[in-house]
Amino acid sequence: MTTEVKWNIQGTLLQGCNCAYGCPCNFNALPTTGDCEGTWSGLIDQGSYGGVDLAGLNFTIIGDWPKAIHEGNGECQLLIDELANQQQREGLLTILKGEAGPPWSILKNTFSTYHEPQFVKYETKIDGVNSSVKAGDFFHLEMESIKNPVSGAEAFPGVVLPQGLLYKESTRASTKVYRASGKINYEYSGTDAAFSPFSWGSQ
Amino acid sequence: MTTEVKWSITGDYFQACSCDYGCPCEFEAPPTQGFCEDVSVWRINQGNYGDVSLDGLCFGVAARWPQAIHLGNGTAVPYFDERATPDQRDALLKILTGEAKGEGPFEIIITTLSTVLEPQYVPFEFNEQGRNSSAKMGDTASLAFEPIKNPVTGEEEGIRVDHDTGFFFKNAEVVSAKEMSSTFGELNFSWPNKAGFVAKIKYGNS
Repeated sequence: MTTEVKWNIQGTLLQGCNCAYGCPCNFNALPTTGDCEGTWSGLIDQGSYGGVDLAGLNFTIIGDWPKAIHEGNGECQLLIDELANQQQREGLLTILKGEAGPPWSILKNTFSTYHEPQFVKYETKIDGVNSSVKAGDFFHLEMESIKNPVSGAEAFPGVVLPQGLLYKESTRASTKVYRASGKINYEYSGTDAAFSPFSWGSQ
Repeated sequence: MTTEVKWSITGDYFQACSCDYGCPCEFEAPPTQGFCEDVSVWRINQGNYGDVSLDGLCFGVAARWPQAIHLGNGTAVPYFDERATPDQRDALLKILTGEAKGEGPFEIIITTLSTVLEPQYVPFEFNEQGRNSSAKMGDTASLAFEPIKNPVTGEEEGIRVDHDTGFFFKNAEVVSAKEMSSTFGELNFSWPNKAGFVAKIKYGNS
């Protein structure tokens, strides 16, 4: 019998996908083009896995599903901050592979393939809807504000999801650069991006 | 030189359209199907146009735009509460056609319409019950909402959108329009289980 390790991580989640602004999946509608090419990149402000401190570390979940996420058969590429030591790498991978409970134990059901995790150098800028993250040669996201199509004025629509798995509130943005490279490859701009606080844990 | 009449209305607003849940147009993205068909209904809880009280009156529209709303060429039929007196009808028409100017959607929306059909004066049903609200405008336009459900667990969800720069609403409950239809002339459509919104609104110039 195993005792569950207590864990908790909080921070900022930067998200991009191939859907139109707002991403219909937030509302339990189907993805704009029928499939989901979505990535979440997090920067941990504070948190730990067991006694292992995880503050200050970055991670990325690159996902690619042939249909809506909940219809499964997805591929996943995990990226972990190269600054993480061995214990931190193990803790983060346990969380992100869905072996330590929600949210990733739920998303795990939608992945049929996990590619070999990569440990990479991160350059992260947290600045609301102008945030960006570059994770080695595997992932690059730069976001910018959505613009009103008539006036050109910046718009900052928010989506609030009290039952949301990954985040409860988000400010929607536009991808300016959105590129996954490696085992999973895609590239978009002018699609949905989001800036959200996240808080995940075992209690 | 004319002086603008001061007006203000606060009330409840229901919106249903042909888009998927959440409606991409709320995020400045194109409509799901490339066009927009919409039924919108308002109930004024407190309002006035000059010294004409508008408390308790309903109004609404059914409309179709061949592309995204901002690309124009829309057709709309305005509906007004048959209980409105001549003064109230005149005030509501000035507000809805954007002539009264002020904060709110109407001054902008009118510029996207190429055809505004004859106003209809009808009885309204307006049941404000949060995510289970419903409304009818005469016999030719209706909508009824229910909560959106998680596609895996079936759990009801309390999704909201915030839109500080929105001109129809600043925030809304995002719901499923289990019924939505218009059978007025060429505005003949029905979009069950598509995007619905329930919101509190405040419009006016005072």
